[in-house]
Amino acid sequence: MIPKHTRFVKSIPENKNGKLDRVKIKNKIIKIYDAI
Amino acid sequence: MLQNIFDLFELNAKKFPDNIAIILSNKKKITYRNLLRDVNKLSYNLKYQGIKENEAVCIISEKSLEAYKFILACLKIGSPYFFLDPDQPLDRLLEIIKIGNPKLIFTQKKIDIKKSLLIDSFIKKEFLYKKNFLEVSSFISHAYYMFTSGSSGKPKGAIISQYNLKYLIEWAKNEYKFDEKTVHTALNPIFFDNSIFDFYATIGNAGTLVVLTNKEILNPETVIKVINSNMCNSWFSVPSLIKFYLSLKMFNKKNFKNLDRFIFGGEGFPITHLKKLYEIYGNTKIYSNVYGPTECTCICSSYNVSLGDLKSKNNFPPIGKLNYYFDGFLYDEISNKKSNYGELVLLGPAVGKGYLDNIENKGFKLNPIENRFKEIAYFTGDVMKYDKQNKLIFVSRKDNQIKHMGFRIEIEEIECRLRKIKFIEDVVITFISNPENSFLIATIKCNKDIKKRLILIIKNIYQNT
Repeated sequence: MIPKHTRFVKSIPENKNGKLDRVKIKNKIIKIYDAI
Repeated sequence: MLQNIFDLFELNAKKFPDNIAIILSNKKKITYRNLLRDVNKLSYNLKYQGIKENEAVCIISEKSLEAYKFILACLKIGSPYFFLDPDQPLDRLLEIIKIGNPKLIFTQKKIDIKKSLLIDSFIKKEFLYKKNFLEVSSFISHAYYMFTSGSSGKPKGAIISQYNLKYLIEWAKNEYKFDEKTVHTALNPIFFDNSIFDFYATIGNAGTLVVLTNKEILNPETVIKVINSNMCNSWFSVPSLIKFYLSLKMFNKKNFKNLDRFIFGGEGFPITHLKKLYEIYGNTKIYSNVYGPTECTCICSSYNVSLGDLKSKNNFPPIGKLNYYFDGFLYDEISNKKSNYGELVLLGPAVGKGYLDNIENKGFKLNPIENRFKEIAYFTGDVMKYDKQNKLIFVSRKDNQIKHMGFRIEIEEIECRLRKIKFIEDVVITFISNPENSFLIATIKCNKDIKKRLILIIKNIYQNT
């Protein structure tokens, strides 16, 4: 079962080491939630 | 001469024996005389279990008369106590217990934990009295451990000594005029650091503590009834609780008539909501914004909000100035100097004794600016600035710590836990907060196996919509 608030995205910002990029993700999320 | 915090309580009990010390919502109450009698017995019982000074006691309980008796008994024998939330998952309780390493664990309800004893049955036990059996604690004894979120993924336990607390009690007397006439609300959970002020400021100054349990504070009728009928004159809670009660329209001129002061802290109080409270009670109440880390007895500043603050364009009221027993400065790491903008560093007798296990002791460091006295300073991680009136204004966090409903959460701790889930390759938590709402979002990168399964699930979802 997928939780109610789950959003799927095509790509997630990553840094050079292949780890998730905290700053870019935050900026992206702020844009998504502002839009909502 | 006072030797420890318990002596202060004993002094109050002898001065005001018939004053009510603690009263519960079900009208169960105890006077200072009877509380002293019960605590003396309980401290003997604890000693009979072989507990020595600085050996810890863990209490897994909601607020109750017995829970408060344990606090005082532990203070008497110099055994640091720590409270844990009975509603937390057993895994987390066990993890914290491992760090706290208690000699004994007391629980309100039966929990499957080794070495644990039921509070009610232990309190009723009668042990043989031995003269001179009891060695009392001193101000240097550890008073309690308070566990907070840790960025390494493990909770961390801040150690606070009885000496640290002495200053908080005296300050409450001087700043808020806490005395035997004070009737203060205990709205904060007992395992949450705001409760430190509730208990020590009230009982340390011979006041009456009016206790509402965590379930009761969710029932507006009970809250109104208990606070009005006991004529509480002092309130302390996180702003989130006041915001919640504002939304239920619990505050009006008929309710809480006897309250002189609203004290709020643990997180910022959005001015937009504070204005609503002010519009109801105006100048008939004092609105005190308090700030302080768990590592320094939970309060290190108090600021009485003025009408001017409510008219300002700031999102939150100022932090104000540090309490008189704190010294501190804003630290600029690059220049290694005091600055008008930087991380707040605290010094003075109320700075705690570090963390258990020395895990993440990075907050406690030698004073970087004045090293003659080798004084330990606490680096709060809170970036602040001074305004024109020299008041401290909160700017941001230096790290990824957040405040949610007053609780301090290191988002790395949640990330660490999520990474333990098999299908998660990497995760980043983002905290979205505005005056109306706040929530956490986990961005998860799944491993390849689950990715394939997820793609199938998503395809199904889109085909069916």
